[in-house]
Amino acid sequence: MTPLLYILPTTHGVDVPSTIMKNVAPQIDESPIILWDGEATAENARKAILGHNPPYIFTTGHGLPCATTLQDLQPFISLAEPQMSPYCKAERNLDIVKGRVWHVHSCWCGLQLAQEMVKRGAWAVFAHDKEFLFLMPKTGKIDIITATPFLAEFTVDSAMLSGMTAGEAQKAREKAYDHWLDYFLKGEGQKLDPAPLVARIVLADKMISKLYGDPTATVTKPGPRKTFQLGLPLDRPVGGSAIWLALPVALLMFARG
Amino acid sequence: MTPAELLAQVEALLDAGRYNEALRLLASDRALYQRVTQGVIRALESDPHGIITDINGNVWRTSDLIRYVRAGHWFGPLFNLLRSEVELLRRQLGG
Repeated sequence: MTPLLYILPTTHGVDVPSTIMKNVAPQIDESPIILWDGEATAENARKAILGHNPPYIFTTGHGLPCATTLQDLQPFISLAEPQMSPYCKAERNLDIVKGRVWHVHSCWCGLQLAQEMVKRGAWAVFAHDKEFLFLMPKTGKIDIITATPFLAEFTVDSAMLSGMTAGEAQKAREKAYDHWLDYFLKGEGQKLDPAPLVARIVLADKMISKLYGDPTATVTKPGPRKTFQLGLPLDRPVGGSAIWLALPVALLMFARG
Repeated sequence: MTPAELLAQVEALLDAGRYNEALRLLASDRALYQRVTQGVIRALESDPHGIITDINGNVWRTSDLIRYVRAGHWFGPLFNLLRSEVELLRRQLGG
């Protein structure tokens, strides 16, 4: 199979999704190309895409309606919307989206960027149209409380790599969120103290997780369903606990009830 | 309009990002508003020392969020939690 690409930056609070995907990717993909930590730059990502021509790309990082970023908040793919953010001064990398399926695991990108990627020829884009929430780890390790929304979300990747269509992967994604919702509302998970909050976060993340583009898009032939298991808790990378109040999103609404 | 129907409309407004309209509609049924609000507060209280974050690295202490909800201030992640609470209550009411 053509190699697939996983772009996993670790700075400015994105170490949690990246650490989890770093453990998931080798279980669902025999020969993943992983750009991790300092390798996850915009320049390296572009080179890897042009060099390997992957049909499927997973990327995570800070997001705005007009941009997704990588290591050290480098803009990776962006629209020219300078009035929205300095991260969107110019169009970037829209020329390499065509014909591929993307999982843009960043906040807000579904509102504009994912839709523009589809207009520019991306076959399908999985993205989020609001903030993707999770509970911050209370220690240096990622436990089930923190990991749950990502376990549901990364069903997209295992489904696509099992040969499902994007539409089928979206259904599998929604089903996975429902599974974890039930786990914390009615199952074993309800014994954990923050279960009511985790359940609401899981449901909120489900609602903002959308598919754009062609639901018939595929990246590999149908085969046995790929699954993954995580040996939780996972260690976070050194320095990964640094959380920055970056990219304040202008769209955050404030209202009085 | 039944409570379940009202909640379904609130969900649609929240999904469309029409937050103020959603809050106004929900507040038109004071008992329902209180019920939803209490649900959000109880969920936040289940992790009283917790910190909610997002992939953008924004952080919100649950203890602060509880105070905001009690004061009737809704913003950012609280709308996401409100959306969940409304849907869970609607399901409970059979809508």
